[in-house]
Amino acid sequence: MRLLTFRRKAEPGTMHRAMLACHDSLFRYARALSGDQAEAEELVQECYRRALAAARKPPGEQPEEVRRWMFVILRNVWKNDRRARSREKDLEAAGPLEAASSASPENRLLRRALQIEVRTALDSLSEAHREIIVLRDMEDLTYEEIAGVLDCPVGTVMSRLARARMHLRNILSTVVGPESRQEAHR
Amino acid sequence: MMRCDDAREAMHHYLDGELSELEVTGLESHLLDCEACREEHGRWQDVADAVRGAKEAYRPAPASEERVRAMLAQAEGRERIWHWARAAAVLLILGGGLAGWLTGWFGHDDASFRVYAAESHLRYARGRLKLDARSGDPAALSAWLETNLPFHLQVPAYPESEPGDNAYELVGARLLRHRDDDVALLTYTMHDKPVSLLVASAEGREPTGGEVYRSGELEFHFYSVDGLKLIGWVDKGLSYVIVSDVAAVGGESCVVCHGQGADRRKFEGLAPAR
Repeated sequence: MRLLTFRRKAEPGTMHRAMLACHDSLFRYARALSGDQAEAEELVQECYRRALAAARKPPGEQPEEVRRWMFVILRNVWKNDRRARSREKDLEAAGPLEAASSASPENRLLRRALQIEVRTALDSLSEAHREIIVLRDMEDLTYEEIAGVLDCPVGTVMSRLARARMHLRNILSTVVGPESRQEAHR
Repeated sequence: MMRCDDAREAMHHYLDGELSELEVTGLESHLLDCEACREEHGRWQDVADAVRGAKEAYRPAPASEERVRAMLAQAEGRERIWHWARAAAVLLILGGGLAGWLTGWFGHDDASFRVYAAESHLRYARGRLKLDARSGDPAALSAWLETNLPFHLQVPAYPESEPGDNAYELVGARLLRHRDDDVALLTYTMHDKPVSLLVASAEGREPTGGEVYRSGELEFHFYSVDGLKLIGWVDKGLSYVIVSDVAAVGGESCVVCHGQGADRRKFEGLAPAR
């Protein structure tokens, strides 16, 4: 006798909560891709629009799957947009900087300065290097997840990440050291 | 004992949590014994920490999340309505065999296209939507659209006017997506105010409701949404929604833009549909 199984469809609320939880991650990725605050916000909005319109969605009960899926959509939006138009990069429109309020004013200033240095250094990398560092070091995606987002083999992820980090380390060599590490942990 | 070359290659994967337990043990024991590799590892750790610490520098404006919340709430409302509509449809079909009537009723839902037109207009008006092509020349813009759209769209030229006579001026175009279809947003300016025209295939985007006016074979639907004036119509298989904040209402608003020469005569014949 054939067994019929039915999987209950996730409530829209579950899916939408999982999608909303990705917002800040998507923004960081969009900002890394575009190098522009306003354009990043636009990309994120378009990403949500496409995600909502998609006929097939991952199950809302698996937020990690939803996040990975939305990274892929955002990347596609970016690629399509870039193909369709030439962009003007506006590094002056960088986003607001905020630091945790628990640190002392001096530490906040130091951390803020380091954030600016890192963001400027990341902006100076190539797009491929920028996005792979953000996906790995800010968003904590595994190599396999990154390979899924970038649609490339895991080996490519590892080698590209190593090259990207080497570039970044060279750029940051004058500002990142043991002292700043101590500040970051305070 | 792990060699320094191997240890340095493994450091990245160690920081990324991608080493096996055995490899972690091998690397950690090497780091205990080798000061040079320990320092090298410290430098990579510094870079990784600095990048993680810079997350705060990548913060969206609060309004960004608010807009996403509103978008999701709107979608959820639609899904709930659709859920109940489906349930009601099943009951009606079971009870009365009214499938034909239901097809006629649900087959012409244009609300999302209208809402999308209004949203796109606001994004453009606020400078959040950059144009793909800028030109005041209808022929040049038509040629550009021809290569980028899956349908033919001839950008109309303002008829019978002298230079400087036009009530409105063409600004450019942007390609957008609505329900997985490519659509075109044409933008104009009138008295320094933006006017948008969203154009897409008419399939599933036929306007309904609103205040209806007729001119010849065309039927125009007028809506007012949050202070914006919207006019929707279908012509030759394409659905159009024009969005502006012109002060005129109903059929008068057409004459505001098309107030010159032959253009005016065409729209003066606009009459409310009965």
